Amino acid sequence: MRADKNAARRTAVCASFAVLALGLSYLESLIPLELILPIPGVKPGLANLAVTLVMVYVSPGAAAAVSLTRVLLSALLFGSPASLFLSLCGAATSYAMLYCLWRAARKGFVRVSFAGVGALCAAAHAVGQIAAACLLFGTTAIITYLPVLASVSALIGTLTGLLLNAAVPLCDRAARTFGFSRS
Amino acid sequence: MFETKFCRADLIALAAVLLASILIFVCLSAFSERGGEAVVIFPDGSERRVRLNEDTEIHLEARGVHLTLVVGDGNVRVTESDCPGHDCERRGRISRTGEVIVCAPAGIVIRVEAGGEEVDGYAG
Repeated sequence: MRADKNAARRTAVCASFAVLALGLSYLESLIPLELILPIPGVKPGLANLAVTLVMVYVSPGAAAAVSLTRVLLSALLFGSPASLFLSLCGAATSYAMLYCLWRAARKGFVRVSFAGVGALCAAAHAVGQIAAACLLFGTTAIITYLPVLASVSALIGTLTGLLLNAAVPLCDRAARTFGFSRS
Repeated sequence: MFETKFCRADLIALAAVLLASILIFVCLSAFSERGGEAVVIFPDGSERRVRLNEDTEIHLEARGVHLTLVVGDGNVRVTESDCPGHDCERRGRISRTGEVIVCAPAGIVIRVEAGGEEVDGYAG
């Protein structure tokens, strides 16, 4: 009985966060950040907030599911096959970074806050996208975009990470009432 | 468990990414030179080469998107495009080897290459 309740709760939470990630993704597509920073593909990366929260409050597997769901739905609704490939690669490398950092933090190898996680995941996302673009367009010259994209993404990632730093202690209380604890 | 207070590792992480970016930029710049020609790569893989020492205006089309390229002063840029994002137009002028202009909706990549002269010199 207890297991059923937990499973249902986790499913509901994951679904909610997947939709949250999708909504955030759509919202940030409306922000013309490119007017301020003329780099194609630069985004605040708000969907990563949802994935990170699921990683720390539920499980790595759940976080992967939320990330994948968001990428697929986002591409189906707003994107194209090309954008799906780029998005998938970016999300994959970003998730890999998040998972490694999470495991390292749990084992006590590093002491890092969500700000550092955000910076590194953003940089990983940039690397993934550039690599995907090189494959898609069949030329390694696209790597010339990497320095600017990675550094700007890392800066923005630090900012969204600082947001999480402030929000997570508040989330802890809400999570506890629903039976979730942070790891 | 992640901390919720900004700590030293965060700063190191950010600094590391910025440093790595600068390093990559320096390496890319060091190995680049003023290009002799631009290669336009279409979605089907076909290419069209354009000399950068001749001022020209070229009209391209791919996947329903129309682009206008202008070559002048040894560089090339996209002056007009009917793609949704106009990232290609905002890229500006490129002239050094390795630099690219990408129009994702059109699936077109414009890359600068060395494109040396066919002969190294003339004798006689």
